[in-house]
Amino acid sequence: MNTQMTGHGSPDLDSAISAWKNGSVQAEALSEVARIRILARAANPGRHAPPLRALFFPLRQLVLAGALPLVLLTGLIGYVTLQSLVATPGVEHPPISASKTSDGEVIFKIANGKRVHRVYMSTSPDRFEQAPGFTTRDGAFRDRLDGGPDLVFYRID
Amino acid sequence: MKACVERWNPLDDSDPSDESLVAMAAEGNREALDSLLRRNEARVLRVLRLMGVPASDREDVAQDVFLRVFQHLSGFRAGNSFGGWLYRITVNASNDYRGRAARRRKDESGWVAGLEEAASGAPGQTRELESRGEWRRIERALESLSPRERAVFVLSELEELDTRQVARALQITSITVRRHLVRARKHLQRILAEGK
Repeated sequence: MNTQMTGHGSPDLDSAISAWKNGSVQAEALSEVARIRILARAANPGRHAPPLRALFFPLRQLVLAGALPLVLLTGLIGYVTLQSLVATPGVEHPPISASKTSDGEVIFKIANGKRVHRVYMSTSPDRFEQAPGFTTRDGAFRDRLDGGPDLVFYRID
Repeated sequence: MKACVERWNPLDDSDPSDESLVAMAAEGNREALDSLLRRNEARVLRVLRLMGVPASDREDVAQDVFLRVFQHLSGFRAGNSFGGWLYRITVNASNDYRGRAARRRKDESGWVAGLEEAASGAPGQTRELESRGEWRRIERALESLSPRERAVFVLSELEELDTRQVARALQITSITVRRHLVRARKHLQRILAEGK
């Protein structure tokens, strides 16, 4: 739920926001032509593919080209290996291996007897508490390399 | 890098979530694609309007948004929020549009004309609103904000996302969201008070 910063010092703004919420009830809609066009292009991306255009940075084109994932993967493996070597009392650090498949996935395997682990992913090593968690299956989990942030940190509990 | 740690299982057909529709659409289910489109078109068009895309171009930009979404469905990370992802793409598309418009030296009357067109119910398909005067005030005032402040304000105050959701959608920290929101509110309050 949103915690609105209303109250002191913004009576005109709060009034305008309230009027907007009460007044703007009718929703816009796409025309039927537009819907058909979107669905047709979504169903046949090859025929109607727009010019390649980076969604966020030009760097993403390098990612799609396949060059950067290998660099990131190497760095990631190094990071994960380093973390597994730094022992913290009372905290288990199982050995982890990673391999890249031919169809754009990387598979992480945790070598500790296929125990269930919770994996957290984040774009920052300081913000895992805000990241959604996943459960491993058969001592492994997968990630795709063809989209999203260019660098992802993993925490395995 | 996109995730697939737990294979997403479609929910009950009676009311699948956006996330389950994404999984089905990624596998080529056309009904799921159509449902995603119909379920989210109003939201996308509304945010584009709030981010300053005039009615004359709004449908084209909305098409661009949905095409981007559908082209990247297979990479959508299971467990993440589809709504947050959609907001991010929509905000980026609106910023791209405004950047192109600025480069084409579109004058502000174009924006106002788009607003008039929307209010009159022309091609943008926006119907007339009961309190048109007040509605226009807030939307005019938004034009004075920076793109980032505008996005934060729109998502927080008008789309009613919480700070964490806004942070995720815009890929910024919660602290940055709060800072931009405070600044935006102060700026808008000043403009609205001066415009009385």
